[in-house]
Amino acid sequence: MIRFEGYYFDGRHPTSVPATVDFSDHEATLNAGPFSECCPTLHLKVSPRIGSSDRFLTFPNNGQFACADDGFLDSLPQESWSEGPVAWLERRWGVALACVVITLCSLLVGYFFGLPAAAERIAACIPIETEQYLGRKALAWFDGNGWFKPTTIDAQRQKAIADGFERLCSDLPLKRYYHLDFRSSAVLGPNAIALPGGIIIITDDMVRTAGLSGEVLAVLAHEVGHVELHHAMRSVLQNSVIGIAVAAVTSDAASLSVAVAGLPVLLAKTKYSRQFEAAADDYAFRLLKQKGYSPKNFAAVMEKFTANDRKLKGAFSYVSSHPVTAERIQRARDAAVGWAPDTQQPPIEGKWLGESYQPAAQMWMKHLLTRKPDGTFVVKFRGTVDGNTKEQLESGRWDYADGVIEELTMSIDGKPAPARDDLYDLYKVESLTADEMIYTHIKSGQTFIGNRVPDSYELP
Amino acid sequence: MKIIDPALSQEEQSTKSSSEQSLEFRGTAREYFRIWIVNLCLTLLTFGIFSAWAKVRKKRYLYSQTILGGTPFQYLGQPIPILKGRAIAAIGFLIYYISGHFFTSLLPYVLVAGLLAAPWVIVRSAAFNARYSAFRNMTFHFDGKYLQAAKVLYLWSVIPVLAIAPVILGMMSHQASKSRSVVLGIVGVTSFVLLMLFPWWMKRFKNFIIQNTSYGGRNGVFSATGGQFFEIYFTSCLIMLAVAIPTGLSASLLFGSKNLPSPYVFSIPMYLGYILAYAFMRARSGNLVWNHTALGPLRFQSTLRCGGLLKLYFTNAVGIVASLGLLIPWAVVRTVKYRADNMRVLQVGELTEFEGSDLRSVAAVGAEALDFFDVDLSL
Repeated sequence: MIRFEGYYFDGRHPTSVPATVDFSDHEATLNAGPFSECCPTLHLKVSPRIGSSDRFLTFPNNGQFACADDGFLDSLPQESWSEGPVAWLERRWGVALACVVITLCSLLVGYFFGLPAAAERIAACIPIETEQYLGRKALAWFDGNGWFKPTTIDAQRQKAIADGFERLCSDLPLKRYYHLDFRSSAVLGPNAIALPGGIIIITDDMVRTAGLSGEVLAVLAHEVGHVELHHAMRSVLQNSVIGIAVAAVTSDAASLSVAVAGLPVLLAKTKYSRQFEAAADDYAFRLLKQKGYSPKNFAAVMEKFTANDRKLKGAFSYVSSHPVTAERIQRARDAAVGWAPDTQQPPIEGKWLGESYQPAAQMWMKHLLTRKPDGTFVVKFRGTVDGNTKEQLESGRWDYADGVIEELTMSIDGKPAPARDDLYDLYKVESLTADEMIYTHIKSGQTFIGNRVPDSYELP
Repeated sequence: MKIIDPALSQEEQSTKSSSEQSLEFRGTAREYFRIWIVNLCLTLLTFGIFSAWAKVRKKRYLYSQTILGGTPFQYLGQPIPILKGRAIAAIGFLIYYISGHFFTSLLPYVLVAGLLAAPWVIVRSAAFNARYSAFRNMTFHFDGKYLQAAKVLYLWSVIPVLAIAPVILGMMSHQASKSRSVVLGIVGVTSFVLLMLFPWWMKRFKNFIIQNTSYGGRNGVFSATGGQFFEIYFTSCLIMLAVAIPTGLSASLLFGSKNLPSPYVFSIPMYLGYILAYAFMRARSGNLVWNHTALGPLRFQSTLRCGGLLKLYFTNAVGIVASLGLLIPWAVVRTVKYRADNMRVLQVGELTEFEGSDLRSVAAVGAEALDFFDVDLSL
């Protein structure tokens, strides 16, 4: 016979009566002051074990007997069958230690591998039409809520960039979904954003900051990376799961301290977002090279940002969603190492002589263009009217990509050319033969025809 | 800083059978840590499904280590209704999230549905918590109804707005101002009115919960006034301002308005000010609510201190961050213990005033009945 001492509660009054329960064979006998009851042990219900807390035995008359925990009580019918094994685990320090390790490992593995992989799979299953619907909604929202204003970039330059963008996307799986739009935005500053479904918005400030079309295309290639890799959908999925997981782990602490739950979410999301940026960068570098542009263009834009916006440097860039700018510039340079433009286009090399009317000088001038293989060039202009001879020397560096000559640096008569918006000296090579080059200054539409002359030729 | 209602202490003196019931929390961080980590681990491994069991286990421990007059409290909640409640809450949140992020045209409908559901959620979770909390083999009850809850939540916030909005609209339309400033004016004035009404709203809400909670056939009685709540919230705001204004001033004096080094530098004192105001508010309003609550022959005396809570929040936060979250159970145990240590339960009559009735299926086994609407919606 086993005797337990404790208290009895009849369920009708909140008074505790000192009581004993005797167990013999299959019977339990309760003695609580004047009250006593006897019943088969099979009719008892025992509350689950929790820590070192008291256990409660419920009798068929709904009365309860409370006593200190004891292993014997586990042999009686239990109130909750599912909690017994959990209670067994909860008693052991070894199990607790194992749980710490398993919890940490599953959180880390889930964070670094499981969640990104799952989000990638799910995002790939979302039809592009759905994404496009969301993207259009988002654009309409931005337009309607004063984030965006109509662009002020002139149509010619828009056309040049749009043509470049089309060439950029011409071989991509999602090519027919891409849509480039120009917007002016005081809020976003120089920026480009990829909305779901291939809608890419570039701000006027970005077009002006980037200047050269190769640099604009480098920025757009980065956004194309976001689209092709489904980053919009993936970040929604990943950030939601992170929020839920952190809430689950810190749910007990959330009410205690406000700071505790917010910080890990912010850190975790920042890390993911930086991974996305880095992945989009890598994608952009590959795409640019494939299309005959140097990743150096990307480095050049980022450098302009750094010069414009000193705030990006310093301690807080670690909390920023973009990888540290210097790091990105370096990676763009590394990607350009050993890369040379595809030389399907015949190299412009040698000397060409032509004559054309120069509206600025209001006279016909001869121009002698000399270009070396390294991209540097010199143009000598010379014209005579009313006995006055006028000369101008332009020099700088041209890069030649995909039919377009881009001017990277330029000086006129030894002085740096004024940085004006309408001085984008993009040229398009209309035709290039063994002895003639026809090229158009895109901005002004002026066409130049040059005939090849021997390398030793000088203006008389 | 003991706040004793004068009416209460008179009553205390007049009744001869006045005595104090001891209240203590005996839980230890070591024991709770094992419970916490095992349940957290199982929750993660089951992708959250086990969280319902985890909630039951953790609540069971905290209840059963809270001992009043020598007897522990009991938590009788069952995992399945909690799991159902969580599934419903998850679906609701998913709908809100999707409509908020993707289908914004649906958002107004979702918000209206949320407003309609809120009283139901409050009533259901209060009922669940009461029904599955037991002391000496008798459970608590909550009898609040949906319409009552809706009235408490919305009536006194909707009527003043409806009354004031046309007046402002009339005033603003006289000036030939832009529609934007009209909207801003309405939003500003209504939020100010709502803010001023908040203490009274809070009083009605606490009153609703306490008066509809019963134990052994006796309903709670709540006697605090909205003015007392107002005093607490007003002082909290003053504390915030007392920190924010000098911080802002010194910032502009030290650095000038142009070249502020970074907003983060100033958010630290602002955050500390916020924590101070929060601790003050929690301590005072906790004391106010308990000291003006009576349940049958029981009176309560809560002696939370702003300084004590501040120290607790600060050390908890430092401990949790430094231990990468492993000290969360330690923080929970300390907080519950602090609350219990600062609570006295006074008895001004016989406990036999509480009487369980068979009709209400007071016994603990009654908790096993699981019907579909028996869901726990408190997260």
